[in-house]
Amino acid sequence: MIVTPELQQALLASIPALRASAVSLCGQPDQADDLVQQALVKAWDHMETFEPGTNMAAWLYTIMRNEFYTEFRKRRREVQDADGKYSGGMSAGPSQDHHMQVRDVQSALLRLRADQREALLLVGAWGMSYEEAAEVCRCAVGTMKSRVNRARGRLAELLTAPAPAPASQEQRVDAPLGQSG
Amino acid sequence: MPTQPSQTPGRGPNSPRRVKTPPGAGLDPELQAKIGRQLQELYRTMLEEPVPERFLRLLAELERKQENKG
Repeated sequence: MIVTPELQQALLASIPALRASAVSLCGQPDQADDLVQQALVKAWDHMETFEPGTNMAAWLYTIMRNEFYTEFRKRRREVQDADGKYSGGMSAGPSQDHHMQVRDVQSALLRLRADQREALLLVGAWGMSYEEAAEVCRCAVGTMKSRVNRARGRLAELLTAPAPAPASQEQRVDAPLGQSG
Repeated sequence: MPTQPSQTPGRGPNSPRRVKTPPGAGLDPELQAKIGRQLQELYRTMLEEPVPERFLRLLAELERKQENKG
């Protein structure tokens, strides 16, 4: 099927939403754009499955989600750095100078469980109904509601908890060992 | 095993308390609203980021392949 200029425009217009969502899916900002790229190629090759008049970005998200759970994670494990750590920043782009609070939310989000983070993304950021979000994630509506609630609760917990002390001096390694029988 | 109450040094009565919140229940509405606003702001910021060059190149490349095929 020919990908018309209109469809190409719609693809292009969906990229920012896809990138933001890819960060949420991966939980690792530095790999998000690779996932987006993979999803765009897949979408281009399967354009005939897109129903004209429906939400292109949402369609792309389901493709990207599927890519992530089938291919991307597998490949990522193969190529992942030995230390497996990831950079804390969402991107090294223009949003770097944003004030602390948004950065706090950002890092708290990355600490949520993936399914809860996704629920919050779809309902909170995309503005999907619980029903739509449940369909995308192939789960029951009640499950989606509960994920959103848990995500909110956990986020509130993370954001109000005292910051973890950086390498506390109270940590003693010279405590006597082997006292138990 | 000795069962002495574990003493946490440096924790006075004024130290912040970790509030255990049951999921989705009894959340401070003000806090929820604040978090909601910050989430929205975060996503808005991300949506405003310009599309990186690599994606423009990718779409151009896909289009070129398509034209060569047709």
